[in-house]
Amino acid sequence: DVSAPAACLPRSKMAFTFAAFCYMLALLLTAALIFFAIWHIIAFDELKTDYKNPIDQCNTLNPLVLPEYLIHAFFCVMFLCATEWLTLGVNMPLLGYHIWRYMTRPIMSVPGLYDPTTIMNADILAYCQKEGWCKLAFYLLSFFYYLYGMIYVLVSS
Amino acid sequence: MTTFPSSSLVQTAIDRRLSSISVPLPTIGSNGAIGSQSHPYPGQSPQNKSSWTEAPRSSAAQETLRMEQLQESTANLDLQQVPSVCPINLLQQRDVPRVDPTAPEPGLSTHLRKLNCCSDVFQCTLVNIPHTLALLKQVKLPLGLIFQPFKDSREPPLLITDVPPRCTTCQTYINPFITFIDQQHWKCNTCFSLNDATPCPTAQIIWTSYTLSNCTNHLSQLHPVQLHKSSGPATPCPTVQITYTSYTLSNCTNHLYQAGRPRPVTYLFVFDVSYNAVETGYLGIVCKTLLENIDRLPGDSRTRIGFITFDSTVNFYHLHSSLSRPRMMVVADVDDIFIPSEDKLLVNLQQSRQLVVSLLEEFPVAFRETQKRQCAFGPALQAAQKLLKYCGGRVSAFLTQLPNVGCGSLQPREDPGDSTLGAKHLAPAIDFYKVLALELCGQQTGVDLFLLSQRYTDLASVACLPRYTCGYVYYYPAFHHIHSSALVEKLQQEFQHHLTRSIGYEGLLRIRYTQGLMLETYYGNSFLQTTQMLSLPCVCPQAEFAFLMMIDGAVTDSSFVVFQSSLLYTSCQGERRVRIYTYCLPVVSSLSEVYAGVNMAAMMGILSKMAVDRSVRLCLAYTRDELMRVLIEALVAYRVSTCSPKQSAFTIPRSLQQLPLYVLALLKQPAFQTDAAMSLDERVFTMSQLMIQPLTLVLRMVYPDLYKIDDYLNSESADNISLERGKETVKRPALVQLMAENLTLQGAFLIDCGNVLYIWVGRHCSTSFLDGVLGVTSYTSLPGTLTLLPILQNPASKLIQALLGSLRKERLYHAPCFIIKDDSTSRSVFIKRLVDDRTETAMSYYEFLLHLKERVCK
Repeated sequence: DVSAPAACLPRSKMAFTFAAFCYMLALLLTAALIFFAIWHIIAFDELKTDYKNPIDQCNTLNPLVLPEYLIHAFFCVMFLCATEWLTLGVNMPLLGYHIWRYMTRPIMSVPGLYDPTTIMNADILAYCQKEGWCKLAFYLLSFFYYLYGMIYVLVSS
Repeated sequence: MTTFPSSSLVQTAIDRRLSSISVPLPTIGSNGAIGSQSHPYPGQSPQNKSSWTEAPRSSAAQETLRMEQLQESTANLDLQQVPSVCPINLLQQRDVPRVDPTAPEPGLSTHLRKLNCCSDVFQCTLVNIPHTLALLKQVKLPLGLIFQPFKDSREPPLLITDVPPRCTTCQTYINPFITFIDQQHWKCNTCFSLNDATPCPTAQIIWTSYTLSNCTNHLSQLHPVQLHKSSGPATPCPTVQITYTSYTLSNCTNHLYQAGRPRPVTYLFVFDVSYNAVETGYLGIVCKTLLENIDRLPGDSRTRIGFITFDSTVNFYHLHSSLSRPRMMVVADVDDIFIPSEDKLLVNLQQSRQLVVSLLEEFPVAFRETQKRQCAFGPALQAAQKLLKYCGGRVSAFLTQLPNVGCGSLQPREDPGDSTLGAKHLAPAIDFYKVLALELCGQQTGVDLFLLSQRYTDLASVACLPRYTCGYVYYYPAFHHIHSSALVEKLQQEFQHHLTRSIGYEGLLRIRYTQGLMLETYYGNSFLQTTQMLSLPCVCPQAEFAFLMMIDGAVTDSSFVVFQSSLLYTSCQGERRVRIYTYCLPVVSSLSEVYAGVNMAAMMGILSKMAVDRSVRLCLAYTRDELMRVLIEALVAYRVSTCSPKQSAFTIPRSLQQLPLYVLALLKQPAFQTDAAMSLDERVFTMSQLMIQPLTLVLRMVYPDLYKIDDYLNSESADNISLERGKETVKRPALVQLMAENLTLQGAFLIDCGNVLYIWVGRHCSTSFLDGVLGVTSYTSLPGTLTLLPILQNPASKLIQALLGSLRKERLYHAPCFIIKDDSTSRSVFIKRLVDDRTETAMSYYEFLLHLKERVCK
């Protein structure tokens, strides 16, 4: 029957809702966040192996910090508007962590988290490296989660 | 409030104590002071042995029983009866000998020990390095390294002109601790890679088949033809100083050399000339000292000099030799400083000498009537940075008030009501000075800061400048040229020392160490460029650096660990030099050997640096808890390793016996006490002194040296003649334990606190002392607090002056001497330095031991 698939179509119509749009945008921006996380990891590894000067490295890393936090905050606002509560709940701890991290940063006049005079201490360097790896893992997982979420929202309407 | 007991009361106090402790205390009537030796303690002194093996008042049987119990308990440690690991019951031993500033001998063979670097350059907290991280964690003591790479050590370093062989992988210079695999290859001891022992064509090194352990490390054995010796017969000393005679060597990597001649030395003086500055009157004194020493500034014929003054504007001075008199140029726009015609501002000292002299004579007079109360310190330093951009040099900056104009202006943040002192008050408030310091460091400029202010100047922020450029802060609270004569003398002496001491410019220090170790944290006065490299724009002989280390992996590949510090610098004569020191330590695998190799002096140095670092990053309360925690963990770790929980005695190995006393002294330091009546600036300054001063001075600051000097005068009168001829070493008097019961009313005592000296005069002090040394006829005619010791023409006074001179020699900061009477109001200043005693807020040493015993032996 030709009419049967035609009758099915309205039921399985892919609704391009605002939530789907959010997930799509989140997917793209998470790719950028993954890129930032990888950059951080490489930068700290370069510092540890004495490949680069801390002053130059901090001047490269500090401008990337606020964009990353703002992008992530933008996600949270978007999911709030799309009323995707589960995704919002998953992202809230990271938002809180970002706020805490920025509040307890060393005294600096430029935006950023890393101070060239203290970054070479082994405990701070190790902490930043661990932070980089954890964030990379989180962003990768959330990438796949948004992919799943987008398809789910697109399919179920 | 502790009232001073008469001698009979002291006697009964001693008797009371004796009944509870079975080892007799030496009474005041006996001849030596407690722990008397006339020089610092060697590892085993007869006094130590007698203090706990001499016949006590109780029965000898009890004592032997106690000894047996102790020996039983330590059986698990497998001691080889090394005296330094023998356990001591601290509660029974009242006299704790002073820490020997020279390190214990590392467990190397005698031959290697002779070749090893002298221990006043390198000090490691654990002289026998544990071979795994697990062993280090078992001991729970910090592993740290303190070294002075530019020190004028006792043996002059050997000067050679050819580049010695270096490892191709890690660029370590050759040292006597490498191993030859066969005649053609040698194995580097930091990265364990093999190198060829082939002749190097450009340096023309001729290798022989000697192993370096056969020769006496004298590199002439390796290349007999090309050596340029400057000092006498070869001394086996693993210190190598290389002079590069040609400046464009092509065989070495570029970063070691410059294309042309090294830059000339440049001195820039930045003076504060606001109303506040003129009130203190420092400018006259400073200009006079500079005039006197202008020919003794280190440098050669190319030395340059320049001046900047600032109040609410920044003023520059044209001093070119073509001018007839110096010309001042005022830049009023402090928000955007520009430099007018640089070549006339930094002039050759010899060519423009006349102009410089006339300018220095004019300075105190020219600003006498100024009424400007603002201070543009930030813009002045920005100007200095721009001026020295291409040549580097040294800036000596003087500041007398809080900067309040232009960039870098600061707000007063001292809050006497706030007792939670921490990063909020002790860390910098803005990062302007830190960023500026890093820029200055990059252009090889060092900054030294002289702070002469009566009010709060936010030293925590401003001190970032010297801190990251290997400079020093000199602090004179409440300086006035008439009213504070001690500070005037201090300024003169310190400024003179600052001008005339030998320095190295454009320094780069690299520290290399055996694989398996890791440098964790850095404490010191310079900027850490990579984990192993420090950038030191102006390094002086007293510069000291410290690293906290961790064992990363196992150090079992070799039986030695080697540290090599290579400092590349430009000498004042314009030569590019490298100074290399190599220090070797054995690796051990047993716990008792680790305990035997504890270097208490270095341990205290590292602990005080850790304490300062924590206070600035976190807060003071946390620091105090951390110190107690480290101490208790170390004691518990020892107790666990002896493995006898039923033992109730509180034992500690002999090598750690000073640890509780020194931690108590550190806790009693006013800088770490939240309720001490200290201004914020003073607190920051004291902490920075603990961090950067050489180790011997830090030890004195924490636990001062107390000498009884009236006895000393009587006993030393025979040696007066040799002292008058200016002999180098003065015999020091006997050291006394820091307790009030050691102060006798008939005596006079000198306490050496590192950066200040006090002479305490007892009420019934002998008239010969009063007359000879202090120049007064009786005790009552002595003023309450004298600030300067009179210089009189009799042997006693000369002797005391010689003693003070020998104590003050080679110190970064001049120590003024104050004379305090027993009944004067400033007596508490002296009494609170007696660490062993109880105060209103802190325990005495004995009480502290009891408290520790409770925490450790539970």
